[in-house]
Amino acid sequence: MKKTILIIAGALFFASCSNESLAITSQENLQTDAMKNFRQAMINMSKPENLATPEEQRMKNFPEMSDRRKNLLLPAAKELIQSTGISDSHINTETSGDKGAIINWALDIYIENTKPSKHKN
Amino acid sequence: MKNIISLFLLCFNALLFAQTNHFKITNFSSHDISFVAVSMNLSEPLMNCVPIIYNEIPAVLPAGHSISYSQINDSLVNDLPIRYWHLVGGSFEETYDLTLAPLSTSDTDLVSWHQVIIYAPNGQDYTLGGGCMGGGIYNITAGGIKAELNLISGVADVVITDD
Repeated sequence: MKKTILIIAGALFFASCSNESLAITSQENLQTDAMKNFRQAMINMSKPENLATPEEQRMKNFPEMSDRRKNLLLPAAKELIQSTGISDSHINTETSGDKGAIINWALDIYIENTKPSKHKN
Repeated sequence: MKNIISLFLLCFNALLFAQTNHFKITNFSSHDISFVAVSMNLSEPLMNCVPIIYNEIPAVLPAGHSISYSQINDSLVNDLPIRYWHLVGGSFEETYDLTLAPLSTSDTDLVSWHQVIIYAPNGQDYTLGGGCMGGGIYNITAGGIKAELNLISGVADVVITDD
């Protein structure tokens, strides 16, 4: 019994830390196509047709981004991660194909390259 | 045996409520944007949201830049450091200077990022996110900018663009 409890506790601990292993590879060049495309995809999300619909806003898990909207970001997010040398299969392994995890990974790469300290004189 | 189960439940509770999700804000607009990030306890509506924790002095995110915060107590070593956090704890309010002391984990573990106050170029402030009484506003077009707050797998993500 003790063993079972310890195993469950251990599994929960490692599951909680799983996202920490996602690599963030720094890119020096902000002007890469992948960075530009991800930026544009994020900006396009604020177009009226891409905003959360009234139906999406009534969903139980709102404000979690809907699958429809995640799908709009996904290609550019994958492209940005791949531009750091990471393969598609590695992305799927690390994230288990979770769209939100992939977008967050790409966001981390984008933020790493556009954080204020990167451009101090 | 009871002790082990209690310890396990305590650990599980800590994992469940620990403030681990990030708050990310990306400023695609051509304006420097000031913001206040608000972290609160929406899981206890009867407690009217407390504790509520927010950065007392708005942080300024330059045009074209982005930033990410995780734990409130780590914000001092961030690329856009935040030093002063205001805590509303129900019967009291207090401002913490992180250079002197961190906030208590009994408060920070109960809260997660739910709101952001954006100061638009026209000087007006706009609140995005969920409120203590439910509901909330998640996107605005005002004051020369568009701003939106989403959760992406639980991570609060704020995007600001030019109108």
